Amino acid sequence: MAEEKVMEQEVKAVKTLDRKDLLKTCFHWACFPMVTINYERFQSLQYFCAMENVLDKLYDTKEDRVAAAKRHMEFYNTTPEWAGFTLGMNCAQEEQIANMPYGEERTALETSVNTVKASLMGPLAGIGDSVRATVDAIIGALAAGFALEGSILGAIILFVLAMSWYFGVSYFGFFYTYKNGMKVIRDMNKSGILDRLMEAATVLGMTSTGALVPSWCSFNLTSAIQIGELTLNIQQELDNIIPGLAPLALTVLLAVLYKKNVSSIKLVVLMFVVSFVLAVLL
Amino acid sequence: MQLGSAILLSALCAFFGWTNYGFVNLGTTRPIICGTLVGIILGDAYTGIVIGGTLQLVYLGVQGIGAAIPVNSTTATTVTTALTIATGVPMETAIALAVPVSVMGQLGRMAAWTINAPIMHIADKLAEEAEYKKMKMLQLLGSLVFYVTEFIPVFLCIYFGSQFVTSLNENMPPLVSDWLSKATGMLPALGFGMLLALMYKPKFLPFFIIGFVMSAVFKGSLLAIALLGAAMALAIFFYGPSSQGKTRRKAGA
Repeated sequence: MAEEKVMEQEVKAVKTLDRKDLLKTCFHWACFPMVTINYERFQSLQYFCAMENVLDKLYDTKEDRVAAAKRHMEFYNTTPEWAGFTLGMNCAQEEQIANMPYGEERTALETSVNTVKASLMGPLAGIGDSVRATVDAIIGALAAGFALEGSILGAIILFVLAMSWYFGVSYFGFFYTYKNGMKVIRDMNKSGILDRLMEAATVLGMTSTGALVPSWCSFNLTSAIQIGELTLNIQQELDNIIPGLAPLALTVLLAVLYKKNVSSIKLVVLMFVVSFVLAVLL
Repeated sequence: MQLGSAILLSALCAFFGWTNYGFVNLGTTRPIICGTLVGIILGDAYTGIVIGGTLQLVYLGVQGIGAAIPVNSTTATTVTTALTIATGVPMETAIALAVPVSVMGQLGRMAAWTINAPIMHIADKLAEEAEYKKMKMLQLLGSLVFYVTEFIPVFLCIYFGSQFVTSLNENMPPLVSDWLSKATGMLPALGFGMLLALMYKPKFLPFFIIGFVMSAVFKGSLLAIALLGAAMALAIFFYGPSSQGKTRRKAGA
């Protein structure tokens, strides 16, 4: 027991990760999360490649290196910018493992590396995919407003916002979990801050979507129909009720159909059919 | 279109779809950005920007959730932009091609995800030998697979699509052009509809209505309405008790 302690202290001084190593792992992942993605084990090789410089630095013996490589070739898949939350924690764990004497404790910690990955990638993807959908939609819609007027500002705004979000989340998640470990996830769950962030983002998303429907869906029934003496100008009649009613009705209809699991391809075909009918009739 | 120029155009168009998967993830797969860039490179930035903006709206609600690969909005944008500029047909005609092109692009990506699976087995073998450097080299292989699977559908669409679009444009009856412009005007509704379906909960309906009325009736600019939405979002974030109470109950139980 006493011997082990001495050994532990001796080794401890040797292996630490500096900021450069951590940044390299963080940005290798952020830049190349998808390169070898596949239907069998998704992002597992990319996870290893991001961790490679850390593992390379921490482990010297072949047994350790093989074990470490296998650990990080396990199944992994999550939303790219949110993977930092497990990467950061894994780096902290590996650092701890490398400085431990062999034994039960070390084996337990080695197992926990994959427990962290496996137990967090699902929730992270759940949060990540829906937050990404909302954020992408909002900034996409904002930028499209500029682009449709022919302004290059659209592309610039989208690029700046999307990249600050993507690299911001990647960086924050990685270093926050590296420093604070599991505590982070527990804290976030307890305060419900993610739920509230999602809710607030959805409010913004819904408002922007509502604003987009009448402004960018040019769905005009311009022609007039003669019914005996009466000339019926459909668009004018509709505009008298409320402007933008036709696009609104179409959007709601498509939303309802989509919710009922009609695929987007079928909906596109449907729209081409409807617009053909309209083109023939009006 | 000549084979040589078709290959050059395809190489350019495939590049943008490839960036997200095979290269540094810089957001260049988003329709507005890749449309603008293709436009600038081909010397007609305006067309690229407007097509990018239109298709960004069409694909607003198209998101990859979980392991599902969404339709490829990048190839749709780059091919449409390239065809519009190269053949000189009106935008509306070329945009009609966006839908089949996006499905072709999706198939290409599915192929890449399948082809990449054996790489895992090579990586496993190398892991047994702790060959870290060689494992990292495998990334180049994956990257190459993504470029090829991105290039093939794009090339097919550009080479055969250009003939189709040109002949369609030359013999276009007024009915067809009327039809296509109506369809193009309607297409963004799909993006909005999918987005609405994605975010919809009864409690969010008021904000959709506020946004709609501010835009349709009061003709507010999108940026102004987005700011209003941001204000409401902040108010909800700071004052909203709903989720706080829910999690507290959960924590207590």
